[in-house]
Amino acid sequence: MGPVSTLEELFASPGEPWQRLSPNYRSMRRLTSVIGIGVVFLAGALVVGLAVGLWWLAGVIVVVGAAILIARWIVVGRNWASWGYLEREEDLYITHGVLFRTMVTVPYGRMQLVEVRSTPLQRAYGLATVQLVTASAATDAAIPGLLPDEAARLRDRLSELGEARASGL
Amino acid sequence: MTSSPPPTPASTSPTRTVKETARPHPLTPLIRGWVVLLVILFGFGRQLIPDGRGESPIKELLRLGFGWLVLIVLGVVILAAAAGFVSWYFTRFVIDDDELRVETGWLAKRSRRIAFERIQSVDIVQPLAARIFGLIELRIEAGAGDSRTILRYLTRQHGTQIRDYLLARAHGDRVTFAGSSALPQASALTDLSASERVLVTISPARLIAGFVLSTEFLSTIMVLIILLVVGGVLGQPVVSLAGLIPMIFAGFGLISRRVAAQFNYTLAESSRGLRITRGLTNLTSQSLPLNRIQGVRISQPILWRPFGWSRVDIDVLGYGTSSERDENRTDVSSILLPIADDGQVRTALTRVLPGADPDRLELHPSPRRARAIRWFDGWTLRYGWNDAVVASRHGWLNRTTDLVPHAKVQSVRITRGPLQRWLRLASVHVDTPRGPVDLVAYHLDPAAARLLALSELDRARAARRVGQPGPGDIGVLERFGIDGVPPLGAGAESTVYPLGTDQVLRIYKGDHRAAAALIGQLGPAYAAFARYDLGFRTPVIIESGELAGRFYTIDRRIPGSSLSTWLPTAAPELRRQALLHYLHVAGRIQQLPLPADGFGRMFGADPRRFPTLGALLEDQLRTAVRQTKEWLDHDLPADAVERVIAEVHDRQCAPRLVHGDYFPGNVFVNALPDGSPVISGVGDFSPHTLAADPVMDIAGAISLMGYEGYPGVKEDQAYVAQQALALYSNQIPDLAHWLDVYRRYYAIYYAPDPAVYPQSLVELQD
Repeated sequence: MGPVSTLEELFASPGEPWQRLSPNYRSMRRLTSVIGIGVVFLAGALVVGLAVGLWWLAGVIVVVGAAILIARWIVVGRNWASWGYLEREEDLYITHGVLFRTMVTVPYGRMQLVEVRSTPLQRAYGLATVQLVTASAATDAAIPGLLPDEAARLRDRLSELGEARASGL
Repeated sequence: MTSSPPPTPASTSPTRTVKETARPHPLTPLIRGWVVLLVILFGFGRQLIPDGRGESPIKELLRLGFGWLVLIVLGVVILAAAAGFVSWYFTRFVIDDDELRVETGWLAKRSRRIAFERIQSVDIVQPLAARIFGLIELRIEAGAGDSRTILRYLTRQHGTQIRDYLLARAHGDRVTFAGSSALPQASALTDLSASERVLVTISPARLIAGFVLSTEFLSTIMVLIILLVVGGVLGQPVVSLAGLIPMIFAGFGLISRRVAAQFNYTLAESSRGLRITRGLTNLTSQSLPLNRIQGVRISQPILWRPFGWSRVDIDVLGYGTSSERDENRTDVSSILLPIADDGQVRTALTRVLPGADPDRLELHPSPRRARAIRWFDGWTLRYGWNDAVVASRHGWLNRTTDLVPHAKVQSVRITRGPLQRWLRLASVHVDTPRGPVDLVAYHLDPAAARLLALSELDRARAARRVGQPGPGDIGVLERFGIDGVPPLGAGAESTVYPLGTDQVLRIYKGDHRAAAALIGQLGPAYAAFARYDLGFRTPVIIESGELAGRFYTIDRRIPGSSLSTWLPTAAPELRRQALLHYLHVAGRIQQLPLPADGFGRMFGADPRRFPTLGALLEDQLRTAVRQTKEWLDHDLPADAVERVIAEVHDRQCAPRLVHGDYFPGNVFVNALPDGSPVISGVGDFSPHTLAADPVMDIAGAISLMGYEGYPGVKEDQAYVAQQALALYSNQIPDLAHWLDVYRRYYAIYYAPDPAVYPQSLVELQD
């Protein structure tokens, strides 16, 4: 377990436990997966069955589609669980990703802009994204899937901290 | 002492409203017409090249007759000139109280306003045609996201005057337009007689040699050769010819970018920052706002390595976006040094990233297993940091070292991909604004990666605090109308901002009572110092007070620049001259008056008296050791500290004023009219100042020099030590012994400063 534990520690929270995303975010991503994968494979199966008459092939397509959907279902779950963010005294920490894992840390003093966005789908699930902008385009700091209250709180708090700690470029 | 009155903001004196209106030079439309002519000729020239089938549209035109062609061209040129004349006639540059206005347009008037404080840089560009007539254009960058404003064309003198004025106002100095040309001489950050000092020049020979050995050029040549060989083998030279023409164009483009644009490259320093002048046909003068530099990349192609050459690029805030839009423009560029040897790189780095010093940077390799991923250069991966910067290095064909000052770090990322997960590796990215610098510490051990990322955040946080006005300072700065002005420097007790050309505003940190007490002690002492003329200036407090919860003083600005920043740039003979004078001044500080009898600390929280010199110095050392005991006990022979304490008790002398922190950073150097350097003043008397042994400042002058990092400092230090013995041996018996004792005394006394500690160990070990 030795090596694994060092790798886990690499992305461990630097303080209190990570704040997690709302489960609504997982539901939303699962719904889009179900719709996306379902439409493609069902349409494929129907075309093969109705037009060519190979109903056994249609059955195979549906089974493959179901397998991919299950895999996707699990991946979305793991991806959702990998997200975490943490406001500490001086910096905001965000971590995410399963295969490609990242932890980005943005000092409050470096934030130029805090943005709250939400797409129609996100709104339907009562979600919003908080995006942080620094002078560097490489800073990839967005937290998707926050409840609107939490997003607004985070935005206000970040702007406030950003202002208090603002430092010249 | 007399002092000039505080500067009054120009806006409060309506009688002295500055308004300068200028119009482009009358030759402007002509020169722009000439540019149009060139464009036409160039366009025709390109068309004349047969496009493979040997036919070109111009051939058809030429059949109409040459006369017609000339007439058409002339017509276009005259039209362009007429349009140019109209635009010239209706163009005005107006310099007002607090903004620059550019008014253009005949039918529809347009007025563009640029507030002085938003000006980021003002560059002078001389295109070939304008250069022939001695004209220049000014390019003004204002704020990120704003497009560039171009004033063209102006006479060189008028243009430089406007540039100096704009830069002065952009820096928050309230000057009159007429006074701006005289400003550099009067300013305290300028030293020496000329307002600019050349730091680096690059000879055309080296530029061309470097170009010939560069990867870009060699790969172009390689492609050319391959094309020729392929063409020859196929027996179809036409095929290779078709490929040849674009290659030749690319080659010319490369030459114009890498050689012509960088020709006669000069990096100079003025009171307003660094300035680059370069160009063969188009002369460009570009000022580099130092506080906007976000990172440095040093790259060294493999063929340059035997010569020790490297190229230095910089990230400048706002340049990344503009250079992408007009890539072919030769104006602003992110190149700091197109090709330079180690010494020149070091000189430039001391300006751009003070304290970066790649030599004192300890770089750690990535683990061996990283080679499984980076099989091509895994053994070159390095990362490290020091007090000033975080660094990474990689590459073999082209070795690149990225340096980012801690204060400029935007964010820190740890990333780990599937392969890295399998090999137990992770990369750490330090994000900077867009530009050539891309600092990544590739493939570290997870523990090292986490340590690097988290500790870098701590360093960045600490650096941001030092490099910016404290939150309480802003209120004071606003009251003086200089908010947004970067500090000149910061010490343990205070931060110093420029206030006009001959004063500085010093805002004390933290604890009110301590600050008030220190000002109360320094004021009378400085006033007493000022009555003595010892050939160098001492600080003078003109005014002190409390504003927005902060104590501040307005001090007279000592002319010249810090000896510490001047030394790395000066020629060795001039350095020796300045250092000799520096030593003389060290010997003269003791003539300043002492406020009270006996030995003791003069300023600060604990200005105690001591019966003997030994008791005072012992107390000084014990206080220092208390903070560092654990390290010192571990790193030093057991009796090193006790030995120094015993030795200082043996010293007998009368109490004299001792600066206590006499080193090049607290000494100002200026130039005599003949260009020779002279020590103009000594600043920053502080809680280190004592009534003690005058030998201490002589010893400090020598041993504290050791912390200056420029090449040749060891020889200079030996020179100063030898001169000290020659000068003072007859007055002070056993001088060599006491210099050695105080060398070790200072090593212990300043050891609590983490930046000094390693050098302290070196001093105490031998």
